[in-house]
Amino acid sequence: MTVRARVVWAFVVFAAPAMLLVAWLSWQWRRDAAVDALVAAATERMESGGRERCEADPSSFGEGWRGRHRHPRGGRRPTLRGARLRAYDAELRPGAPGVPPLERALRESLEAGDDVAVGERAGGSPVIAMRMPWTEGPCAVLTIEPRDGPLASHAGPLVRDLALGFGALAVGLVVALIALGPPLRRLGRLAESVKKSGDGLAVPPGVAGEDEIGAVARALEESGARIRAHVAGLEKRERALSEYVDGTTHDLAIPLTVLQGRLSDAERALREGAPVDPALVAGAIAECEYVAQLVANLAAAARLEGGAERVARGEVDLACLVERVASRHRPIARHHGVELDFATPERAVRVRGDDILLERALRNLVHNAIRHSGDREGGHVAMLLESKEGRFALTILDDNPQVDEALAARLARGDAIADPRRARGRGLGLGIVRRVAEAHGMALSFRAREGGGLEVRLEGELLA
Amino acid sequence: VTKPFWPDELMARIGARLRRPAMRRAEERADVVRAGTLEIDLGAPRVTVSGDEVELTRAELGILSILARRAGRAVARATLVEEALDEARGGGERTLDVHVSRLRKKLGDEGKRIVTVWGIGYRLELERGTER
Repeated sequence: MTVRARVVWAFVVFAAPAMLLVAWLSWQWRRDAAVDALVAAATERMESGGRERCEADPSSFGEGWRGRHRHPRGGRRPTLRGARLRAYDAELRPGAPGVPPLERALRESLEAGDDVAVGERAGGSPVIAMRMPWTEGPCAVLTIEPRDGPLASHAGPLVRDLALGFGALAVGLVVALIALGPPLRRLGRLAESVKKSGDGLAVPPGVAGEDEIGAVARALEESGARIRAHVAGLEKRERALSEYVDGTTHDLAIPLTVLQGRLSDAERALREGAPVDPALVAGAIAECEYVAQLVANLAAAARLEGGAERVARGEVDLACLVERVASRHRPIARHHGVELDFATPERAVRVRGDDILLERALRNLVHNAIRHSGDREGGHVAMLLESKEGRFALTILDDNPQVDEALAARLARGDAIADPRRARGRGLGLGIVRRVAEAHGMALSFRAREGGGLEVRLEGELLA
Repeated sequence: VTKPFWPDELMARIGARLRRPAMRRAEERADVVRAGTLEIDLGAPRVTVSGDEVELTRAELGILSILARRAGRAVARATLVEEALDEARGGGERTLDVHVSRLRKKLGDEGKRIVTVWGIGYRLELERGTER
């Protein structure tokens, strides 16, 4: 149902019956007021000489009442002027020949004890029957047949009121429909623009005002912007995830294939009774190490992608963490011919953070340092944890001679560094380090060391 | 220990746990650190090699005491400078190296137990040739 049809329907269903009820109640009130006024006027008139005149000649009494016709209490109330009065005795018998008998309804009402009864003559004209304050004589009961006022015509005033009411209603309806036109047209334009909005809702001219429709338009525009941003974020994440899965699948497939080949070679050698080449086993270990690192980084990336609520905020002792990472990486370092060492303060270095993610970040840094310093005997990697004046600094050093200022700057910017030796590395490990540092409010910096090597520094506040 | 782990890592974790302050207290109460013929009495303080007392300067004794208290573990150069040298007398990392060099000479063959740890500082090795 359109808004216009709803307005018309509301007028018909609610306003018209309400108007009818009001008109009827108004008419009833005016009629009761007229009856009261006529009864008061007749009583006053009878008590001031009318009774004597009536009892003297009941047959001619009350034919077209003349004389003083002002209502005793003034105002514009109905008067007895022109009204026909007829007299009856206390037994409701006509007071004179030629006076018609009292109508049955009136008789029953008066006999039931009412002092005033309102009814109709046989011809349909209204009549009021009233008892006088006395019961003797032929004029103990009077009937009044008014010639004008609300009682003179049953339907006249009601019809007039109804006509006026319906006229006012019709005018109101037309005004309402006219007033609804512009806002409905604006709503229509707004709906059209929403339907047509592809990349974004642009509110058409004339729609965005300061009223409720303008507020709806603005709310739609803002909501659309939020939805677009959300969708863009989802699409970006989906693209990143898709690329990431592609890359990871590729990265996993290569070491697994190599591992399988090396194990096959080892198995063949064992079956033939030949010694297994240590280089074969070393290669297999390297592949296992890479796969383990990749899978662990995937888990960390998933946690970081899950948002801040998935990052725990517990108490972490960085000294223990450094020691743990060193002990975990010593076998790997040894395998790569790298010397790994660390130094921590004697006292605990406590920070608030996610133990697992912080360990993951540190392991990535140390693993990268070992990997890039390795494959040459005599490589070094060191972790140095220091704390002073409420802050800590964790430095990871290596002596990779290939590091220069340009590489350090690229690492600081977050550019992915491809490993030309293995065609691996999409910057996932360092990306996780960066995200973990951000999530913990820590500063991460990269610097090329004098004499070769990289210095990665992670700084932050200690737990108060 | 989260799987997967190397046996070496498990051993290192147990070692680390044993080195924690609560475990270390008993060790620290014994104020004498012995490494081969080198004996460092942290309470006295006094240093002997094969029973013969070695004359050390205050700075040298300070450096050796710090290394002995944390024997087997690397100690940062900055820590040694801060805790053993007098900054007012120009104590810096270069000075530290000079002091360590002299200390090694004074300790003779046992001086080789003070090893340079790349990127960090120095370590006093209890077992000669211990790989860390």
